Amino acid sequence: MADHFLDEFVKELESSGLEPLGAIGEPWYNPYGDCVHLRISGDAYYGQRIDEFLTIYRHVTSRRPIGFQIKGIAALIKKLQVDGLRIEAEVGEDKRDIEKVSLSTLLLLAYDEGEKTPVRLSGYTDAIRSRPPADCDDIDLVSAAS
Amino acid sequence: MTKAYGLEVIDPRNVSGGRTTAWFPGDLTLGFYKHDSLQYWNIITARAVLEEPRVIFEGVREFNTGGWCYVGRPEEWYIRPSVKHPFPDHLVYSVYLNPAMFVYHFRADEADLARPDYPLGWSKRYKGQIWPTIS
Repeated sequence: MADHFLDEFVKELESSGLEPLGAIGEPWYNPYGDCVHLRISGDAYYGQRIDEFLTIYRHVTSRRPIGFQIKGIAALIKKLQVDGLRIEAEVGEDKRDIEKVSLSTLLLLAYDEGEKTPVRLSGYTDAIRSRPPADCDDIDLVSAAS
Repeated sequence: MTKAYGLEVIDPRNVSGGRTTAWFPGDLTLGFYKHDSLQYWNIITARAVLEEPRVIFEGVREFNTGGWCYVGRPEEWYIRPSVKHPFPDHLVYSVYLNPAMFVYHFRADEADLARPDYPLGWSKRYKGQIWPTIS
């Protein structure tokens, strides 16, 4: 197999016991970019930007949606009222920090932020359709940030 | 600070000749290695773009301050782990950095057919172009 310039680096990281970020087939929070990624396939893809919150990932040859990126998670979380609306989120013991939030909630919040245009509707529909099953819908915000 | 791999790049805060280090975070890199092989191999593509960008934009997010996007047209990229392929003409490759110079995402994007070195919608999706400088 061909060499990768980071192979030695990742071997050191594995030995150090570092907890890796990321997944395929499940949504995960990227603290370096304050965004959530989901890809349901490991195939080559390109991004189609829908709006300031959502980018759809499309298969490079078939163009079918195979995932998406939700950006600006901190801004979306601020819209959630911890003591108010019934929401799909888990909060910390002090009731101030949201520790987990559902992907569905994030998508709905993001869609609600902008104009209801055909492009946005189509993009968010593609995102909802490429979601994993409900038991993989929750995104852990705390462990990624620690 | 997590272990990270550093790469020398054009300094986006001083594009008239400055150089600085962009960092591939260790936990993110290890995650790609373990869970997302194709993204791990396209770190090589991201490196090529960081070393030879065509355009650099600033202000990549409406709701997060700062950050940069280095955009390039590499000769090839990875379509399967360890399998290279010529990079498509209708795409560009974008590498996203946060204000601390951590590389947090990289991927192909649709190109603006009128300006093939630029991503589609470039004039509206970033705060502005910082390199090459526009007179």
